[in-house]
Amino acid sequence: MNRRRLLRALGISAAAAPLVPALEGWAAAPRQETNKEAKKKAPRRLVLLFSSGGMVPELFWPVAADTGFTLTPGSSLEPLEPHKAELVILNGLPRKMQGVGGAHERAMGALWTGCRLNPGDQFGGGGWPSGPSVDQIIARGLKRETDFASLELGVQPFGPGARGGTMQHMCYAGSNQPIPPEGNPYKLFDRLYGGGQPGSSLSFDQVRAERRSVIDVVKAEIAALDTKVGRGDRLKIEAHLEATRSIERRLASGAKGCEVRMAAGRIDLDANENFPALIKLQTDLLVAALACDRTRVASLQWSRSFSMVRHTWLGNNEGHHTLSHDSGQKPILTAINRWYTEHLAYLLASMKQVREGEGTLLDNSLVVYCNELHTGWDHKPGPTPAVLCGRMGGALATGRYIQYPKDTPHTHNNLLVSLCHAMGVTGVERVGNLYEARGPLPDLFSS
Amino acid sequence: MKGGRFFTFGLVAWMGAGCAGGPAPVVPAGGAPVAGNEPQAGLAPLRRLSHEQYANTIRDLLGVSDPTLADLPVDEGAGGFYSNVIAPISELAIEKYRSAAEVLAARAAANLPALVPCDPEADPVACGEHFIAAFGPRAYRRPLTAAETTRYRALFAVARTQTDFRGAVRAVVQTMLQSIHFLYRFEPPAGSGRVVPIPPYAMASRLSYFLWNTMPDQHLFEAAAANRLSTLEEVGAQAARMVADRRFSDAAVSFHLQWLEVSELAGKEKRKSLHPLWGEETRAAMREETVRFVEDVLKAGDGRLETLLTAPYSIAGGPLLKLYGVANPKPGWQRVEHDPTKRAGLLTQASVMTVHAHWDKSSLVHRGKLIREKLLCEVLPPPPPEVNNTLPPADSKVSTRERFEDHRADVSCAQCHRLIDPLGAPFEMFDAIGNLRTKDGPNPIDSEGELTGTRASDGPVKNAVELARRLATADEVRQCVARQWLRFALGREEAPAEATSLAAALKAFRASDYRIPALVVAIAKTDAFRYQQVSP
Repeated sequence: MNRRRLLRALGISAAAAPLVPALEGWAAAPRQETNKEAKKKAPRRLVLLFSSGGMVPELFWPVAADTGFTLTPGSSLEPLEPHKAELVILNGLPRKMQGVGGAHERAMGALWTGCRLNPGDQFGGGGWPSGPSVDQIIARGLKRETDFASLELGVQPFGPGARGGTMQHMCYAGSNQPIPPEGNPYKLFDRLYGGGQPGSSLSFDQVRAERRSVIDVVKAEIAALDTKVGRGDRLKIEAHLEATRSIERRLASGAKGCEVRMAAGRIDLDANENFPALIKLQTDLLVAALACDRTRVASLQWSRSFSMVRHTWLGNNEGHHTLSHDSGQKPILTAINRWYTEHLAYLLASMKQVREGEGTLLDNSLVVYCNELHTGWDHKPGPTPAVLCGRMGGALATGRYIQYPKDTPHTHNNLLVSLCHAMGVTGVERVGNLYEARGPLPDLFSS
Repeated sequence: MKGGRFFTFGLVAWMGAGCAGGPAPVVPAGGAPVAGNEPQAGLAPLRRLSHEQYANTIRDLLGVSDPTLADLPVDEGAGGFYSNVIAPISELAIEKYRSAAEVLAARAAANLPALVPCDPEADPVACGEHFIAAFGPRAYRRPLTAAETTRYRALFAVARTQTDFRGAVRAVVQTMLQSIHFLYRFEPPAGSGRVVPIPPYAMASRLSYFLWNTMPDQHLFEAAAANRLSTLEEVGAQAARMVADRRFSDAAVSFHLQWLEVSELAGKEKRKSLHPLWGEETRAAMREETVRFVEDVLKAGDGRLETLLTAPYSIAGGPLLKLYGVANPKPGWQRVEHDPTKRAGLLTQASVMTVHAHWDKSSLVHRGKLIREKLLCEVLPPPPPEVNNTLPPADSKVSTRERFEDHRADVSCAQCHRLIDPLGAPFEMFDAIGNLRTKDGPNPIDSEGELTGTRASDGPVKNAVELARRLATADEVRQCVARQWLRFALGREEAPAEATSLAAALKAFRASDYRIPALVVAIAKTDAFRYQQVSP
């Protein structure tokens, strides 16, 4: 059996171009390969990608053309030109806001869940969303073949001192069950390739053995709990047990043929100026995790709803949210969205460099790039601006710009159902409770 | 058309929602009061330690601290305070606790004599057992069960053969810090019936996390062991001891920073060109001022609500000395006497003004909302989503009052904004970082406002100082403060069944002439704190 060791150095500054040797992706990830498996198709991957604040419609959408579409010069999506053939852009899917909660909370909460918020302690009387996000529905619906059912990454997702709320979380395991994104690349690296704490004298195997023994105790204690625990509390303990078991599975698998090296040195994770470097680091870690088949469902959250990132590298010193509220700031808002799109282009380019079978990682994946708002200055969530990238193993005919008419019966929630079906979770008929609509979007994916 | 008009919006079908009334409690809090003599209390949902509580508990349990602690999971909120009571834990959070446990256990085990109460040389096995028997109950905040003791002894033995005595101690500590019994505060219902007492060890933790924001001390553990935490007198005596202890400051400071949202200072950004005094040192000093002021009022002062809200002095240092215009300051932190016509208590402190303001201007709405929601305990819904919230560009020709004219002129805005804006206007005398000012650009400051919605304290106010004084003696504010402390104690909003507890606490608050220490002792003695409704 051919175990290839993948080595990749991750740069830590935006200026340093990382070494990107052509990576062998899923085909090289170590597993017991039989002849039958070797001929199997590469698995499909889903990546949910987010940036906030809405967009400027007149400087965002492409122009429909015979060959699909053209990207307008100066528009937010223009940096995707090299990847035009891999895109499907959706315009016009209604997405509504309803029920308790502030606008940002409702928009972020519904983005991937299609759900309204439960009553809660956060702004406007809202709490957490009342249902799971599509990535979690898929992760639970798939047969578990990877170390991680899903991976949630973020780039400065939390502001310092803030109470954890719906604006900062886009992924949910269920009603009232936020999944926090990991914004710390060094911790993420430890999660993925875990060798314990820096400076520890313990060997890798010792660390794993200790961690497994702790889990044994945790499981034993949960089993010994008094049955008088009330229903609400039981749910929390069960969640704790389930999470513990998931971690235990990872410790047991020990798939270590896929190594990633991280350059030495740490950057200040909270500094505004390091936002670009962090996007790059997290993107690189995400691609490596997918290439090494550590997970097939991932999400990357750039900042959060009500982002206060100051894009000083674009010559602007105002918080993103403040700018997005001002319809007079369209040029800088477009420039900011363009900048995020450049990073999407980098992600796609990186995925294209990972060979899988006859194609690339991107051929077998789908990156769904969405904003929680349509336009920021009026807090409108819909229609959804969605950019789908990748061929999803052949299920997505790319190079299209789909405009839904004003009276379309289809909604954002139907898109979420489509994503489930495209990932092989075909039993799902409805995602979310903001719409009654069932079924996937017709004519989006072929199978 | 006035330069200040910035509101355009479509439908206001939302109008029907109105601008009054409270939401249903979010965290399952319990049902309505029951007739009869049964104690009235709400539910006791399982809570996980907050970030602060975890750090303080580690400090008292292990005597160590570590920068790792900055990476603990972000806290949720309930009832307006940090409380991990709704969302179940995530995998990521468990791994963060794991990381912290590994680092902290290694640090603690590096200093064995401080951690282990016996000499391992003589008899390592017995010393190991001694260690588990001494450390375990403190980590779990209750005696270990026989099964737990057996489990840890076995773990210790295996670890000792693999490493050594120190390694075994580290393994035990590392494991206990990841136990559900460390991370969560279990309050198992004792006895039968619909409403049952909180059992002794859980009561010890309730008292310590409420009044000291940390794990119980030796006295509390001993009282629990002797079953001396069940009667009103016993609980009252402990609570009285605890508020007289300097550790009460930890909880009181945490309460005030959360209540007035000063905890969000860490995330604020301000335009340096407009506020040259702003910077990291200033940010830290602002928080420190509020901390020291609260400590001072409670330890050296009279501990009264009125003092917290109206005192004409503060404790300032660093860049604040310049911000407050202190003439001839000494170096370091010092008591500062303000002009009593210009500053009064917590509400006019730089920290509070800074948090409740924009990055480049003050905020009528944020400051008014703070007063309406946190001092008067009224709930305000958010603006309708269709409303265009874009603030007009700062136009120096237009005064603040004119810029916000639409809040008044349009009836659908006015029904909420008449409750908010007149409470924020008095703070216009302070800019976005709490500097005193008489002009906003070329426009003179208009600090006139009005308190409305109270039974006996309504009326116009000339400025923030007059507002603070009116609020400090308003009955609604006193009730609201009592309610906020009850929520802090319970980690959730109060249940309808707990109205009698709130009334009892308020009565004692009044009788003490509104002293905070008396209020919190009274809260500890309420049914709401000493009992729980059994969950179905």
